[in-house]
Amino acid sequence: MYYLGVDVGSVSTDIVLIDENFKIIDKVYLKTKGRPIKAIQDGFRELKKYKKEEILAAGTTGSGRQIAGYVIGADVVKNEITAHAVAALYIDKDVKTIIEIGGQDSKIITLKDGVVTDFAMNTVCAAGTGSFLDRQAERLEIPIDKFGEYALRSDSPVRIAGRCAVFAESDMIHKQQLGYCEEDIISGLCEALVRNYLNNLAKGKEIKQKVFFQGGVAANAGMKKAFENALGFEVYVPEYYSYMGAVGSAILAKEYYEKGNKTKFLGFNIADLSFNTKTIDCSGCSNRCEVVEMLRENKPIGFFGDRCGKWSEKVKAS
Amino acid sequence: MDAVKFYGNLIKNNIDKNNPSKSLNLIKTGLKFTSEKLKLSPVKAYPPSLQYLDKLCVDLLYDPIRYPENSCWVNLFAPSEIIHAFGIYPLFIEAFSSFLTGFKCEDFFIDKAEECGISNTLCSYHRGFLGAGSKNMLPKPRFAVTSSIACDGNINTFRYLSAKYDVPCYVIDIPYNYNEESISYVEQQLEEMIEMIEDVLGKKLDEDRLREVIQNENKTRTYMNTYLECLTDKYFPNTLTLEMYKLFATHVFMGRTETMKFYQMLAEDIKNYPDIEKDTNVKRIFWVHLIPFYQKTLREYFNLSKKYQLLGIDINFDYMGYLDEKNPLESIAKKMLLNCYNGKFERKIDNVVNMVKYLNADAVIDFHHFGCKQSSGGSALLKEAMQKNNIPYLSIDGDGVDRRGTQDGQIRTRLEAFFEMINNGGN
Repeated sequence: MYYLGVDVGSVSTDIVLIDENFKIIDKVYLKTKGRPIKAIQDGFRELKKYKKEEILAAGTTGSGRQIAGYVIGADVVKNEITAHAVAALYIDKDVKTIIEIGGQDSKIITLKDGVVTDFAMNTVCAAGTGSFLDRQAERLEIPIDKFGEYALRSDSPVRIAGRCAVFAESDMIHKQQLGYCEEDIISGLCEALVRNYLNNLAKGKEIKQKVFFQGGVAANAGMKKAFENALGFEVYVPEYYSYMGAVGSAILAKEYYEKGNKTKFLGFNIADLSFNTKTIDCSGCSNRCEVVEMLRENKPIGFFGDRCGKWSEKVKAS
Repeated sequence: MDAVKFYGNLIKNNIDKNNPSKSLNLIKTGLKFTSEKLKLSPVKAYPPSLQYLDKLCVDLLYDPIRYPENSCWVNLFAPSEIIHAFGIYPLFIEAFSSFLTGFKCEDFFIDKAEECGISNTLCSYHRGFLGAGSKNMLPKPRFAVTSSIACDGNINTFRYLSAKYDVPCYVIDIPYNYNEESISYVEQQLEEMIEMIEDVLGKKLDEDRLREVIQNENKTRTYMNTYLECLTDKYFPNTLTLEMYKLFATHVFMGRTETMKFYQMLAEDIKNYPDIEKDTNVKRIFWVHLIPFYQKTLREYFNLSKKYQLLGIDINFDYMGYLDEKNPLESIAKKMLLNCYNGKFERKIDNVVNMVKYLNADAVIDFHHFGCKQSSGGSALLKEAMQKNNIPYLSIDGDGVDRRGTQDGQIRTRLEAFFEMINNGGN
């Protein structure tokens, strides 16, 4: 029997199944590409070998957690800060700081005695996130999964202005035109992103050991090394660094089940159903809420965006 | 179809058709309609005091637009007592911009200001007002008055628009330090400002009327203190908009009988609400700086919430002292100098710490409004002070009036994680 965790992020959608002993039984990684429902359905198609009855509970997280919750019939819908912290603490209860860099946001989470005591997220700036690295890899025509190797081969990283993604890119172009090699530029970029992260997100925070580095960007060994150089101590990248949100979500689902609750999980066959959404302007009161109606096979399965619960409670009741 | 959005589009379209007076009439009609609606069917979930405030603020914004020949432009920190003593209706520019957001047309006016060359880094409260002014939608007031407290960006807004509309403008420069010299410097400026208003209106300041205004203000302060004393251990309903409306009462309309009546009613209403039981799950939140009252997720979590009680915003408590009716100008000068938003950021921090402790708040949310440099610039200092005092602290970024400047996903994630953190005992 398993617990399902789904992390719908801006860039990737990750799905994991864990067993009673928290062991990862199966995992799927897909690009979200702005279509979260399709990404979930594609992922579920790969998991059809599992029966609905084998899933004791399901959880969702990530920026698309709410929509994912409706699509799969999630029991727990939690923000990604909590999900990442839960997963990291399960792996190592001594973790004190989590550096999480995903597709479009980055976070720092501080923990004390197994409880989140502080956190910060980047705001509207993409400098230092996975998307920015992706774009630079594409521009340099180097596969993103080779970025780390390139960085590690560098002996003398070039200083790149990393405070802003736009300026960082033009600075990189400038350094290329000055004749610096790709390895030194990529390594310099990693250092710039780490500098930016520590100066902005981690500003005023004491980064206590043990530090976990997770999220998709943790795949880049150059970033890990740059963090270690800047901090002066080892930074740990957990085995399933890019699935940590989904793992945390599955653990939260397990906790839900262990409290004696029954699952609402709809099964992997939802992969073959049609889903769409439409917007309703509620005229029930002066709030004039823009309510999003979610339809499965043209039947409403959920509403969100209403303040009074008039719509969202409708489905719960039926 | 969203009726407000449709109405907002009508306001925008008439500006584009070079018909600003029609746009202004639509705003007036909208305010009149809202006022009538709130009179006939006030929000049932509000106690009488909040129902009264809800309608009052619409009326207070409507007055200067309706009677521009008896109006002036002011900012949040202008000396309201003198304006009321002259019997003038102040058009509070930050409130006007907020109402543009209420009409869902703030984006249009903000863009119009930018088209005139106004920098997009200027506060959107000002850009909205400047946009309305640049398109000649604002009715011409008699004069304009502002001060340098907290916001120096506003001075340029006032200078630019008063020149465009050809109305006299007085900018009160408030020094950071509080001493005999600075008191006398501000007092002199107040005298000059009064002379300017006297010249414009062709009448002398009625000193008895000024004393009456100050008496009203002091009585209001007493009611406010009674309310706050009760709030230390009671639940009382609140919404994001109502908390912002209280800025009308604590600042621009302080000294008016309506404001006094509101706080008198509030002090009575709160007595009917229950004490917060010990070991309760209610989390009492103290807010710093402005509130993006339109923001969906924040409304969902805070409006009339019994789980997350919004206690207040620090600006509503930026000066809590009484005025001396025997020395009105000196007293107003002291009030302006001692405003905790004037001077070092530490003054603001001390005020937040004191209010949090006094109101038994469980946590602080600090909203950084884009364009307000003091707010984001001081956040690290405020956070450090909160940590020292073991007060959980969350900072969120966004725009107080421009919907385009606030990301719902970011706010929701931060808020949910923060609530989980405080519910689990983390800080």
